[in-house]
Formats: sequence, structure tokens, C-alpha cells
Amino acid sequence: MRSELVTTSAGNWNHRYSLFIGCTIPVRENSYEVSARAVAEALGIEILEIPSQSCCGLPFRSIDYNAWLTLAARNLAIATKSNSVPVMVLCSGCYKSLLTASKELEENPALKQNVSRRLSVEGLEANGRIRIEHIAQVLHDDYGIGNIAERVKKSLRNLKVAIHPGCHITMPSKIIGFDDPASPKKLNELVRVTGAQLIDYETKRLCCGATVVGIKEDVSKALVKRKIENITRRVDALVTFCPICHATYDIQQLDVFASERDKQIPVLHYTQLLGLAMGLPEEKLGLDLNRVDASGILAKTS
Amino acid sequence: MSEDVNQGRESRSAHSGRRNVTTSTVKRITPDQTDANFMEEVLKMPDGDKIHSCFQCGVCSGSCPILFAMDYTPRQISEMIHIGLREAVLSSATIWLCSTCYMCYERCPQGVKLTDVFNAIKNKAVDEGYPTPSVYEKMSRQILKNGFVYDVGSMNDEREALGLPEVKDVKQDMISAELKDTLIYKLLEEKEKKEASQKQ
Repeated sequence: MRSELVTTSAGNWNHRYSLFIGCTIPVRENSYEVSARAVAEALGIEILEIPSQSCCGLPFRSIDYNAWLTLAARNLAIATKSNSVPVMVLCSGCYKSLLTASKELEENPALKQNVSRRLSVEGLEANGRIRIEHIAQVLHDDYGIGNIAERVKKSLRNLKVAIHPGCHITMPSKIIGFDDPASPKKLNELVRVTGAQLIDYETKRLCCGATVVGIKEDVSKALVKRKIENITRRVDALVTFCPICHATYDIQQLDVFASERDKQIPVLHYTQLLGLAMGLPEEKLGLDLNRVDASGILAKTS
Repeated sequence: MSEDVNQGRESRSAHSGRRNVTTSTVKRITPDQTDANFMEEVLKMPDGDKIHSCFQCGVCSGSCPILFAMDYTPRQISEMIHIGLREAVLSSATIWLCSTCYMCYERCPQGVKLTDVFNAIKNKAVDEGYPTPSVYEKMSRQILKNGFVYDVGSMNDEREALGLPEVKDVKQDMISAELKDTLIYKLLEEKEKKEASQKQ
């Protein structure tokens, strides 16, 4: 049930979400937030801020379950207290973390009580009732492909793109349930509605390896190499739905293909691709912030 | 299960699963120093409850993007939990190389939530003082200090220039107070005390 959403007739939207930005976006991927806000504004999706939001807790999950759950629950509690609207999450890692935490809290009253006790110093109470949505979910499930199609102004038919779905936007599907991990249909639809040619490829499901960058960097680089070499010269851009995946491909490619620069592929946030299709000016989409030069894409979007 | 059989199965799943994989880095399981309680402990942990259902099919290893860099394969780790090889599991490189992509969890025909079992094992390794990659200590300190994994507060000038709203009122002191009774907070506090006393 999405009782929080007022959906009247098509084209007359009253969509309000509070925005969770996380750690990676403000430090390394401003281009994602800039383009997401621009697209939301142009679509008439209202964004509310979540004051005092912090890290979603995900890095703690591997080392301290309680620290993870407490920090995730803190963000859920703050979001619930500040705006009673669904939380729109840009990062797939934060999305999975907050969504998993909300389910664990609701399924385990003892755990919830324990976390509430910790949060009480800030006058907060743990609860997992607030709706958590990835921006791809907001666009596909709430806003709707048909309504996005009406806002597409520019033809991207000369642009060939591949998607990197990423892991946490669909898995584990028992918890996430947004799209099919084996073959993400909704993500494909979101790309097709922009008019761009969607190219399928063998290593589509391969993880970006971001979590091992800080542990064994050459492992992550090997994964980046395998994915990019699979699509190089076949596409004009790789499209991501997660700032961490984006940073991994956009940064690691510079190093992995330092002496083979012709193999490098521009990496676009989905919101940059959609913004281009909607005819938004490039400066509103942060394309100049991408590390692998994405300016060549503009020539193909006329 | 003899070691040879064990080794043969792993090679097959690795070669049919993906390119560029060699099993040369994979260690053999040496069943000494078994701890009969280990499996029970894992079963009691969050998401450890299904580990006993593992029937060693190897879908986890065949699905793992990091297999080529691991010392034990995910299937072996599961087997080692069953045997009770506490020391080898908690000190394996594999648990820290897991990229948490959840592909093994997603595909497991027996419903074993192996990614989260790995999380549980890592929690246990930290709790029992096994070596932990330094990146986790660094990230944890940052979160307690800044509320974020990075110093997000210092990015506000850049945010303003891009027309993004200021990140404010993060309340780091509240975050520290809320996490005070957690394992990681206590471990970092102990370490700081130790470092301070060594300096004196």
C-alpha cells in the first residue's frame, strides 16, 4: 500500500519524497545528485531534505551487526520524524542497507527494542514502517514509463548503451523485490524509454567489486577490466544506477586502460541519460564531472 | 570426503563457471583442530540458521565473481563450517574478499544465505580478535568522527557551487553516544587507550 502517495490522474502528479544521499555521492559523485535533482524537478517530483542524515551503516554490516542496524535505524527514524513521505535513495548500497534494516526491525521486536534504547539519547524511536525506494523504483513503479515517455524530448536513437544493473538494486530478491536479478526488466525499460539502443552483453551481471577496492585493489581492477573489455567499441556509454558502481568504473578505467585509452567507455548515471533524453541542459546534469570524458555523447544526442 | 575428491569437485565447478579462473590459489581443507561447537554458534547468528541445509552443490562457488582471488572457495567455507574448522574459517582471506554481491545467496537451491553467513563470520572474526582489513577500522573511525565514511561536512563549498543544499547538523556526538555499547565502538576505544598508554 502506498497510502502516502497521492496519485490522481495521469500527468497530474503529487509525488513527494525525502532524499537520502549517503556518503559516496557528496564526496565522489556529485554528478549523480545534481542530475537526479534536475530530473526530479523537471518531472514534477518534489524532493524534501532529511536533516541530520548520516552514513546508512552499511560498512558496519561486515564487522558489527548491531552498529549497522543502529545507524541504519537512526536514519529511518530521522526520515520518519522529519517528513512522513517515502525515502528516495540514489545509492543501491544505502537502499539495500536501509530496506534490510527496516525489515529486520519489523520482524524482530526484541532487536527493535534494543535499537530504540540506543536511539533514545537522540529522542528517536526505531521503526521500519517508512517506505524506502530506489530512484529507479520511484521512476518505474510510481511515476511510470508511460509518463516518462511523455517527457522525452530528444532522440537518443544514435546512442548505444549497456547497463550495469549492479547487485544491491535487485539482490537478495527476497528482501529487495524490485526487479528480476537474473534479467532486470524494469531497468531495461527505463533505458529503452530514453530512445537509446540497449545492447545486451555477457558480463552484465558481473559485480563491480567496489567493496574489495580497499582490501585488494587488483581484484576490483580485474573485474572492471572483464566488464569493460566485453563492451568496449560496442557501446557509447555504460549506464549505472549506483554511485559506488559508477565511481568504480569511472575511476578504475583510467588506470586499467591508461595505455589503451581507446578502450575506455564513458559511464553515465541513469539520471544523466534520462536528463539528456528530456532535453535538460548538460550543465544541469553534471556531465563535466565524469572522469572518463563523456562530452562525445552530446554529439550523438542531437 | 577425501581431499582428492574435494579438490576435483572444486576444479570442475570453477572451470565450467567462468573464464580466467585457476584453482592454484585454492587451499585444501585439512581437517585438524575441529570444534564441534562452531556450527552451532553459526546457526544461532542472524542469517546463520540455514547453513545446515548446504548439500555442497557448489553453485555458490560457480556464481562467485571473486573466486579467482580466494584462498578457500565459498563452498569450502560452508563445508569447513560443517566440519567445525573454526580457526581456518575465521582467519581465511575469503571472508574479507567477498564483495557481498549476493549472487550465491540468490542462487542457493537450499536457501542458505551465504553472503550473510559470511557477514556473521566476519563479525565473529572481529569479536574474537582475528586480523581484520585496516579499511574497516578507518571507515569506522570516520563514521564516528564525521557521521559519514568520508568528511562530507568539508564538501559544502563544492555543494553550494553546484547548487546543492548544505549537509548540516549531522550530530556526530549523538551517533557516538548511540553506538557506545556496540562491539566496534568498544574495540576502537580500547585500541585508542592502548595507543595512548604506549605513547606515554
